[in-house]
Amino acid sequence: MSARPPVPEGSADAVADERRATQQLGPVLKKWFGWALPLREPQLFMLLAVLIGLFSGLGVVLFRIAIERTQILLLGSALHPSTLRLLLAPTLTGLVVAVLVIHVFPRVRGSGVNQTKAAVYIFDGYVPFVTVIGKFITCALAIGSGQSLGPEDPSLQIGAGIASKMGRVLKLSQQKIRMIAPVGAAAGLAAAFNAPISAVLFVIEEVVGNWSGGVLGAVILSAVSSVLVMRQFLGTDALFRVPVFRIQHPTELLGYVVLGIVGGGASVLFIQFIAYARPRLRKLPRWTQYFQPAIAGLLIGMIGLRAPQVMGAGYPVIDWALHDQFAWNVLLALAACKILATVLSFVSGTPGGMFAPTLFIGAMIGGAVGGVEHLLVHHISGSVGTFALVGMGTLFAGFLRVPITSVFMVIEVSGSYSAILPVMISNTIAYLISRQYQKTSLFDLLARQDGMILPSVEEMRERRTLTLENAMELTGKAPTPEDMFRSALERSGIAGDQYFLSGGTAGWRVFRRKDAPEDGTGALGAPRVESSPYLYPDQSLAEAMTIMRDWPICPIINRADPQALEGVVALADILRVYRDTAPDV
Amino acid sequence: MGSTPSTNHPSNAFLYLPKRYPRESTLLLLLAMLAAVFVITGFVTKAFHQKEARIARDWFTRGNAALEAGKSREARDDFRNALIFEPQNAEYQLHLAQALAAYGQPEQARAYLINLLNQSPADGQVNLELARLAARDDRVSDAIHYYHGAIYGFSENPTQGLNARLEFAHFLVEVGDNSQAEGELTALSANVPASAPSVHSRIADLYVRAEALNRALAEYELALRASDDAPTLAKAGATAYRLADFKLAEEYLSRVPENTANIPLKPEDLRSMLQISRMIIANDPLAANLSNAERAHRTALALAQVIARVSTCVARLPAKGSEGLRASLDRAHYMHNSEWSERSLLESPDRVHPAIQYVFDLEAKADSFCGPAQGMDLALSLMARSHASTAPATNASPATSRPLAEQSPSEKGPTGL
Repeated sequence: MSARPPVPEGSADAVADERRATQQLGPVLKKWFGWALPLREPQLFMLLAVLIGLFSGLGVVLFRIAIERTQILLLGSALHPSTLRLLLAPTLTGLVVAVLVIHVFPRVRGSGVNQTKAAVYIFDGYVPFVTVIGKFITCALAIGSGQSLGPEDPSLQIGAGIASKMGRVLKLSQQKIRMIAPVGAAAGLAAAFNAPISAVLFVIEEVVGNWSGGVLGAVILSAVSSVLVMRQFLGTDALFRVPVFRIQHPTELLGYVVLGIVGGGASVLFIQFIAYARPRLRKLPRWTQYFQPAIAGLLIGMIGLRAPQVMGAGYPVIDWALHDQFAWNVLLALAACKILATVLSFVSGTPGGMFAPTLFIGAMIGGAVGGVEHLLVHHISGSVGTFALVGMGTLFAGFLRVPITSVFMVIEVSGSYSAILPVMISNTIAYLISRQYQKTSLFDLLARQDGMILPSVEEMRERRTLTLENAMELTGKAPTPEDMFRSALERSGIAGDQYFLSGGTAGWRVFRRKDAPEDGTGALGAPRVESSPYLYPDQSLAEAMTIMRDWPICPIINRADPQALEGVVALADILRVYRDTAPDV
Repeated sequence: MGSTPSTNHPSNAFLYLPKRYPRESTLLLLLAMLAAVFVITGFVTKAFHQKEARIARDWFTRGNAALEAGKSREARDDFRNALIFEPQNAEYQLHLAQALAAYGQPEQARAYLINLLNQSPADGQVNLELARLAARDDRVSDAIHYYHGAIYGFSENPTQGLNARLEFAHFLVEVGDNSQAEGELTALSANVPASAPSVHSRIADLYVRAEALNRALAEYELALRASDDAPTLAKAGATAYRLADFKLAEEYLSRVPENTANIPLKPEDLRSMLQISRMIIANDPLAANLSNAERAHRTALALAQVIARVSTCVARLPAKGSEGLRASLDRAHYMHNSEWSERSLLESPDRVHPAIQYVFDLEAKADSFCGPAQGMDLALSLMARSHASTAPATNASPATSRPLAEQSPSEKGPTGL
């Protein structure tokens, strides 16, 4: 048999080959897949979202197994490892991680949330795939050796990296590639937490910042598919199981108010500790970066001699706290040790996430508050474990500043709605306290320390939308429609009788006379009149400007009664409102 | 021919796909990769789960060994280590709860058990452990609730259900709810096969503690039908003795081998009960089927016995305060030499009952003045009580109107139960 020689592209043979192939395969494809082929970009994007979810789910499963295997290898299978292991494992692994981060994977520093945001807002959705590999290896080593960090935020970045790579491979448009990173992020986080709703909400709350329909559908699809994969391999159980409880009397909720206050205070302290220590360590000479993770590891190992529970992600210990396994003073001590250990790990530049430590600290603080309240008030129906559960959400809301995600996260990780009221109360209080006493959220703070100007989703969320009502407040309301119209014309600086106001059954309109065009014989045709669009008082100024197009004034009518004129807005009014309310730069 | 390339070569068609549909082809490639990664992840996960399960099982085995050795703290830590690798394993959680309870951390144990109960409310073992914790904390209504749950939960497992009911009955006896305990034991007894003498014996023990002596004796007898077990014989004898069934007591007690271990009664008590029973059988003037001569003889002997006891006693007593006893003694002397002499009694058998009633009353009076009776005097006191319990109420004196089982230990003699 002789091998067929290669056919040069564009040659007559090649064209003939393609024609033959079209003749053979074309009809088959047309018959069976003609309805779908070729895939249009929106369809491809949704299909890709599912694929991203599946790949991210698999990636996260392997990542979790890698962490556990590393932990067994380095620290052994007992909760209380030997002194030698406790001191050597995190120290030596810290050295290895430092070398890897400095020389091989420089973009794997940090938790992964800001890096994903940076990919969306700065790098056009580009996350190098080597970062995914680096995050996987360094985080598995760091967390497995006992550094006080978690796997969730790295999973988020791994998901974003996988998504970005797939978008590039499929040659998606630049706009779609920018949108695809959050889709992967949601998939990674959902698989890490076994919590699709929380993952979607977190990505919307913290990474994307808006509820754009195009992204939302893809984010949900990817989160669901990744969770399905994760459950296939790691089981369907919720992360934690907690006893069901019922509030016997509304006054019991006061206990959770106290928890919200304590949790909010702890969140502020935790953020400020990181805000204080991180820039100082980064200012140290570059050579110290080789040793910072190792020294952090050694210190954590020393903490672990007394409190090995604080090492690693700490999920089993959270589970014990949820099962009332510790006295309140032990819980408090564990919370303090964990804060210290997490700050050490994080500010030393060791890659790893903040979610698991936040849950750990929250659970311990919640349990401690619950324990004290049980000592003081004996008939509280919620167990210490319930307080620990609520505490997890409380710190999540206060520390990470994601109030909605925190509520759903508690529900999803516990698989129970029974604590919903206490969680909502406590989380809201913690969030408000944290916002009051720590103006910049953790992720914004870290981004600024890293020299990145990322949009603050929290600020975006809370930014006031200016509406036509603001413009109407500024101009005041004239008594009659004619007065309103005249006043608007004056504010616009328009003179003459080119414009007039008229109200009919369809509602109020401003009319403009236009010169009639020539009819081709040189004579003017009949004069023409065109009517303006109309606005509603609750519409935003930006929307109003779009609707007004080239109209200098426009009527504002009542939504319920189009014949009721609310006002007449001038373009100049809108510009004035913007000017008057612009923040100082 | 051979030099012309085949126009129908399949690669032509597949080269066409990537050119015409590049994205769709890449998607297909990604799907193939996905399948491969899926398979790899499957293998890795399976291997990891097996390793986790092995580690968890090792810790669990160590924990069990520690728990059996009474090292509850080590057991607790071992079970916790096991749960790190299999956090949702109900068996490990249950054992951890047991270790925590054994280590003196009932609240922590209860937290795990409540959680397990939420997962499977009808789990017998979980209910039983919760019942034990509640019983330990004197939360009686909770304990009763959980014991009921345990009994219901073990409905598929008769042996465990039976043990749970026994434990429940024991708890009820402990808290003094004898009537409910008796009910539980009755229900239990009906379901225990005759071939389980140890269970019948345990039921009987609990009946004894619930003061249901007749039922206890019946259970001991059921146990003895299957096995002539020395401890059961001893307990059956003692129960019969307390029920004043001295013939039965003598029968069982005489069958108890000497120097048998595992008998929950003191050997001297057993001997004493046997001796007293034999005395009563040999000397009871009111026993059935006696000849008049024998009845008269026994009555006279009894009268002489009580006269001897009271004479010795009053010699030690001050005159003041014991006038009544002395008067009774004088009357006994007088009657013993006159109407209640053996000959008079033989001639007039109708005098036997008043005579022996006087003996019983005098023994009772002597008990209050002279302390507990011994030997033949004790036998006479027990005879009095035995006959009082069967005699019409109007004839019974206050001291002898209560059944033997209801009397205080000093009154009962050496029952030892």
